[in-house]
Order: sequence, then C-alpha cells, then structure tokens
Amino acid sequence: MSDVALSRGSWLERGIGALGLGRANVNLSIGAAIVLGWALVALLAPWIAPYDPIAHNLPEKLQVPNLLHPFGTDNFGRDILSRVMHGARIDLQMGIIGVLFPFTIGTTVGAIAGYAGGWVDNLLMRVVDVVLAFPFLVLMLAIIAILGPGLMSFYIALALVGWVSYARLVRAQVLVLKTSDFVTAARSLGFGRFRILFRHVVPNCIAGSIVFSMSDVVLVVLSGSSISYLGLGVQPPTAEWGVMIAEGQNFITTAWWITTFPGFAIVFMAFGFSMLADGLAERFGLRRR
Amino acid sequence: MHRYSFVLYRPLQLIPVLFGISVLSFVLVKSIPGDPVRLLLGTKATPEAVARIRALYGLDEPLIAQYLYYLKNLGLGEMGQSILYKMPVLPLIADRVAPTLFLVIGAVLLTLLIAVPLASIAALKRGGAADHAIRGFTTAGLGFPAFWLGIMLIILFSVKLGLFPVSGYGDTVLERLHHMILPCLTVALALSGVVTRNLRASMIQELASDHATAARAKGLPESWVFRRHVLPNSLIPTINLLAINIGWLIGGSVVVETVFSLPGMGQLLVRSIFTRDYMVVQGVTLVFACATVLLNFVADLLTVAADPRVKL
Amino acid sequence: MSLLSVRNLSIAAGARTLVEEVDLDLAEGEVLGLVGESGSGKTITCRALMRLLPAGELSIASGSIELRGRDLAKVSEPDMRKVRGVEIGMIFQNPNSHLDPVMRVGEQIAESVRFHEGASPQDARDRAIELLRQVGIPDPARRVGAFPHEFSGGMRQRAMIAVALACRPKILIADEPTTALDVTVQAQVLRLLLDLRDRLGLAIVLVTHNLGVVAQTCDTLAVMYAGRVMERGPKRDLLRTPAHPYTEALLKCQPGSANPAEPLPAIPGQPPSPSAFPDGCRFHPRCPRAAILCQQQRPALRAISAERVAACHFAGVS
Repeated sequence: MSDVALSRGSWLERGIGALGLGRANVNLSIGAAIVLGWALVALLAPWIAPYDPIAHNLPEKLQVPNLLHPFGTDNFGRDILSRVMHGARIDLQMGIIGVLFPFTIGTTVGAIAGYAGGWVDNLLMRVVDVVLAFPFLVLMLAIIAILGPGLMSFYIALALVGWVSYARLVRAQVLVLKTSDFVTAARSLGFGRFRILFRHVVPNCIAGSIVFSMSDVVLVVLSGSSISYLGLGVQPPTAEWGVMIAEGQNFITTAWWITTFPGFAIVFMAFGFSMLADGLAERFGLRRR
Repeated sequence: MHRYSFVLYRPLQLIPVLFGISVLSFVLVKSIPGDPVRLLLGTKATPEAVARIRALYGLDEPLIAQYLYYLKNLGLGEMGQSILYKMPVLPLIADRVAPTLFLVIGAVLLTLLIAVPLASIAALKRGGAADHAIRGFTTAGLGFPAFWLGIMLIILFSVKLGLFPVSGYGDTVLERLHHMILPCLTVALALSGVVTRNLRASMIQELASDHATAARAKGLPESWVFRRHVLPNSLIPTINLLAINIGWLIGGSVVVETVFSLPGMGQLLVRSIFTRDYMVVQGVTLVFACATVLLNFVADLLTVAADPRVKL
Repeated sequence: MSLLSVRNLSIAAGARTLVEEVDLDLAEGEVLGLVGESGSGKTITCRALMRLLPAGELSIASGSIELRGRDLAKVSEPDMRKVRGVEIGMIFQNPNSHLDPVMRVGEQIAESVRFHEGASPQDARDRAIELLRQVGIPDPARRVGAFPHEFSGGMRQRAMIAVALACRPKILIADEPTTALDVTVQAQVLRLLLDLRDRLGLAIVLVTHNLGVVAQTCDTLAVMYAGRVMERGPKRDLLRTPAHPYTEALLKCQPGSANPAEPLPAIPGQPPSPSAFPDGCRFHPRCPRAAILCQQQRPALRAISAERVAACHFAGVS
C-alpha cells in the first residue's frame, strides 16, 4: 500500500520547478522575492520616490489617485506613494532590529537555562512565565509609558519583553541536544561548558529560531505600526505606515486612499515574511505541508 | 469527578506566577519618573495627605518593605488615584470592564463562526480551489493589522454602506449589539487566520484517522462522520490554541477600542499613557495580567470538559 | 451456498495493480482465514470488500463481489452505505485508535442503530447494553456510558466487536483483530468470535499473519502472497498437506514446528514490492522448488481436489 505513486505537487509547484529549480519550494521563492522587493524599495526610496515624503504641497492636497499621484495625496498635499516607499525604510528597520535584540537575548538565556538545568533553569523559566502572563502589547505600552513615546522606547521595550519566545524555543531544543553523543564527546575532550554550549549546541538549534524569527518580524511590524498608530511610537511627520493610517483616519469619509494604501503595504510585507517563514521551515525539514 | 480536582490545586500552583506578576507590577510602578507622592495623590497634596500617603505606601522605608505595603494595598483594592479622572483607580477600571469583556467574548465567538466553516470546506475539499483560496487567506490574514482592518471595515460598512455606526458604544443593549458588531468582527478577522489554519490541519488529520475509518465502516455517511466524529475531535486542540493566543486577543482589543472609540480598559490605558496618569496605567496592566491568568484557567476547564481523556 | 462470492478481484493504484485475480467464497457461518505476510494484499482486499479503499489512491480495477445477488463492486455509494454495518461489519487491529476517544462507547454502538434503523435513543441504548453483554463485558448497563480509554485493551476489542455487530450483520470482517493484544487476551477474543459465530450464525473473514490463530479458529484458509491467492481450501487439509510451496514454507517457519535444537527457519529473501513483481510465479525467486517454467509462466489457480485450489505448477507433487 506504500508504493502508491508519489504526489507530484500542485500546478504552481510544478511550474516553478520547471524553471529549473527542482521540485520548488513555492513559499520560499515567493517569500524571498517579496522581502527582497521591499528591501530594495527601502534602500532606494530616497532616489526612486517621485516626491518628497515630508514637504507640504497644499495646492495638491486630497487628490484622488491619478496618474501623477498613483496613491493620491493626503491633507498636506504629500504624495502617498512616496510616503509608502519611505515608510518601508522605517517599518523594515523596525522588523529587523526589533527581532535582532530579542533573538540574541532570548537565545542566550534559553541556551543557558536549558544547558545549566537545576535552579538556574527554574528561575529563568519562572521569569518567562511571569512575562508571558502579561498580554504582549499591554506590557509594551506600560514600559513605553515609563520611557516616553518613540522608536527607541519601542526597541527597548521589545528587548525587555520579546526575548521570551526565543528563550523557550531554544531551551526546549537544548534540553534535547544536551544528552546527545556529540556533546558527550566534546565534554570528554575537556571542552569548557560555555564553549560547548555556544559553539556546538546552539548552532544546531538555530534553524528553529531563524524560522520563528521570520514570523516574529511580522509580529514586530504589526506591533510597531499599532503602537505608532496609537501615537506612542514613531511620531509624525515621519512617514511610517501606522502613523499614516492614524492620520488618514480623520479623512475616511472623503479620502479613503490615505489609510488604505499604507495598510496594504503592511499586509504585503507581512505576507512576504510569512511565506519566507513557511518556506524556510520546509527547507529545514521542520514542517510538512 | 476527580478529573476536575485540579480546580482545587490550581490556585496553589498559580501563586508563584501571581507573585511574579505583583513583583513586575511593583517594579513598573517604582520605575515611573517623577515624584511618587504626587503620583499617588494627584494634585491635592496637603501636608496631612502627603504624610498619610507616605505612611500608606511606606515611602520612607526600604524597597522590600515598600513591596509588602504595595501587596497589602492591592489586597485592599487600593491602587492609587487617577490624576485625570480624580477618582481611585480600581473603581475607574471596574467601570470600563464591560465593553472590553463584550469585545473579547464577541470576538472569540465570531472567530469560531468564521473559522469552523472555512476550515471545514478547506479540509473536506483539500487541494481544490477553495482550499487554496482559504489557505491564501489564512497566510495573508496573519499580516493584517487589526487597527487597519477596523478602519477598512468602517469605510466599507459605515461610510459607504451606512450599515453600522462609525464609533462609540451605544446606550441600550440593542444599540450596543449594533455598535459592537464591527469591532468584534475586526478582532475576529485578525484572529481567524491562525485559528482556521490550525483547525484545518486538525480536521485533515481527523478525517484520515482510524476512528473515522471505523465510523465509515459502520455505513455512516460522510456528513455524519464529519459532524459527530471529526469536528468534536478537531475542536479540542483549538481551545488550546485560543488559550495560547489570549495575550494577542487582549492586545488586539486594546487597539480596536481606540479605533472605534469604545469606553473599555484598552482605551483607558492608551489615554492614561498620554496624560501621564501612571497609576491608572499600572492598574490596568495588572488587571490585564490577572485576566490573562484567569482566562488560561478557564481554557483548561473547557479542555477538561471537552476531552474525557485529559486529567490535569 | 455462498453468502459472499468474490471473483477475479483486482485492485490497482493508478496504473499499477496491487492485488490480482482474487477468488474467495464465504458460506453462512463459515470462518475464512485470509493469511499472508505484511504487504501480501490481504488488508487491501478486505477493505475492498467494504469499498473502503482510500479514494483517489486505490480502486477496484476489475472483478465482482457478489452478496445476495448484488455486485458490491458496482453498486452506488449510497447503496453501499446500506450494506456497511448492516450486512457486513468490520473490526480492526488497533482498538485504541479505531474507537472515537471523545464519544461514549454505548453511543458509538447506538449510532449505527439510530442511523440504519431509525431507532429511538432509548431503544438504541438498550440494544447497546445487550450487545455489550453479548460480547462479554461485565456490568454493561454501567459500562455503556464509559469512554474507550476507561476500558482495558481486551475489553476495547470486545467493544469494537459490539460496535460492528450493532445492526446484526451476517458477515464480520476481522482485520488482524488479535495482533495488538497479549496472548491470553487473544485467546479470549478468538473464543468470543467463535461463540458469536455459533450463536448468531455469523460468517467471519479473519485476516491475520499468524498461523497459530488460524489453526484454532478457521474452517477454511486462503493464503495470499504478493497480491495473489496462492492456495485455498479447508484448514485441516491445508495445514496437514500444504499444496503450495509458500504455504509449506510458512508452516515450517512457525515456532514449535521445527526441531527445538535447530535455528528457526525463515523464508530467504523479501516479499516483492508492487512496483517490481517477478515475472511468472510471484513466489519463484524464493521458492525451493522453482524451475524455469515458474519464471516463464504464471501458474493459474486451479483445483487440485474437490475443495482445494492452488496456484503452482507443482501443486500436489511432493
């Protein structure tokens, strides 16, 4: 019963595979393409954006999307398309930096907790439990309340709160790996604990964390734009997608385009990272369709 | 009945977490910039009031003692004063619980209402056009910001179609239901991506399971097998999933309350941050944390009720 | 007179044929043992009898399954549903996974009765209690409300039998019903099956790879290998004087049949995979009596006595 013909995948997979990539990883291809696309837009925005994102241009205000302004203009006459492009710089940066600190901190804490075991592990995991008892956004807001609004406060709050998921993930994997043969072999060679942990065990756990970090980027971008929407993150007049949506909410009856396009940008970027996460998971053999 | 015995032990198990929550809250309170007396008192800072406050909170004593005073005050329901509203924090929060509760419960119900049919179609017609469309929706859905979704819904249903009010909470029960549909729908749409995805995977697994095959071998039609065997078994992991996402659910409702100007705890939180009404901020944060712990407990109760094999 | 007649049944996975030209007969009250190694096609065959092959993967390519004048291979799906559970019941190897873990056992029995016979919940429940008693579960009135995980392994298998017999089918297909049980419980379940045969006139198709089980319970045996029936006939004759070299080899491999001082013999080689069935007789690469003829020409299943058939060029020749 097991020798039934292997499924040949959907027409999309076969199509992309026909491009010479073997049985293609659709998610990875599409995800990487979208993310790279946004990275390019972000990098090149100052040069390819048709208008200045901040300068007021009142005669042109509140224009419906047209040939000159494909996404329309807002109440200050600023071109929405240019603002969306410049916004990519901020939001992409938020996603990447916002993941980097929790990733590093969380991996370190999780690795130590898992490897050391005993009271160290217990204590660290209690801390994790307590942080997790608070709803993520609420805790972020409470910390930002103390630090004052702004992008920097956002990153600090994220570093204080966001490491928790990585710690759990890495700890679970380290617990499994710590009893494996190659670790025993390293210990018998007299290698120090830190060396074994960070040069041998952790690299073997990293795949799961990397996949998770891709979906985490989505969460960070969503949180960051939400907090900016609330007025507690990036401040106007900086063109950030959440800020733009907040500003546009005042005009939804007359100029729907001000809120709509930045939102689509968020969705599109998040979609790219989600696909990338799924694709990497497939690639690393961590998940099956 | 001893499957439910964990109800007795759970409060004991929760003590460390609750303790940790109180410590973290205390740390947050102590981190607030500015004069703590002014913070706790508001503006009416007469010398007698100042002395009373210093005694009540042990402000002249070492940090550990201050924590114990903090705990004692919490136990008495004493959480400081709101500078903006000029009233104690706890009653202020209590006033705002209803809209938030309404929003969260409504969102969960709508999520299930959306996710169950979509996941069923995707699982039953696996590999087909509908399945691909639904899976695309769930992947894309992970990236929809709740606040933007809310505004889009307002544009479509309130502005263009005039079916629902743009914002506010309403006065009578019927009005409230009308006002709450879009906000609940917003949170539900944001959450349903993850839930649909997981439910679909569960259903696919259950459809191919041995007991489903045995049910078919009894001559039961596919619809019966699905309804009475596949669906109940698939929903059990979903309860767990919703429990894991409680924090996310609450965070989403905080933002949605701002979008729709709902007078709930979330809006109170945001407003208090802007007005530097710090004691309110800490109070709301603490209440939300306790609510999360409570909701997780409720989820465990539901799991035990739904799955006869589970013993916690 | 045959209750169930299978003629020339072939089952295919796309272009590849997995089971070919299977002929079986089942009389009322007869216990037919369907024996073979894993991969011999016996499980697929019994699934085919119930038309429970995974759609899209496997299908009945040709042949007929006659039951009371109807060809089950050709009836519509709604008609087949009236057969499942009502005329043919099925029990499976693993009672843990084949019972719904979140539905009470009594309810799982009553379900069929309510669906097929339109019985009221109370009547269906009474039938469930009666069935639990018939399969030997103590205190059935209380057990009817229990969940599967509250039963022991042997009791779960009995419960599964009760579920299969809820609508009083005349035929029971038992797919390796004792394989997952310990030896003492195995004996109890087998005794129960024979008991039910005596009391209810039940005909049973017992699928197993265990010749010991077959020796105790069956009236007739059909031996399958690589998707084909190699030999069929009354149990006693087959076990005493096997006509097919494969049957002979299987018997030699049973613990207890050989000299205890010598190592247990095994049939050399592996059963072939369906993508690479040998030419001619499918057993010839492993057969001690193989000749050139065996590779060139596939032996047909032919009668070697009044009640026995075998597919071997040298059948009956010792």
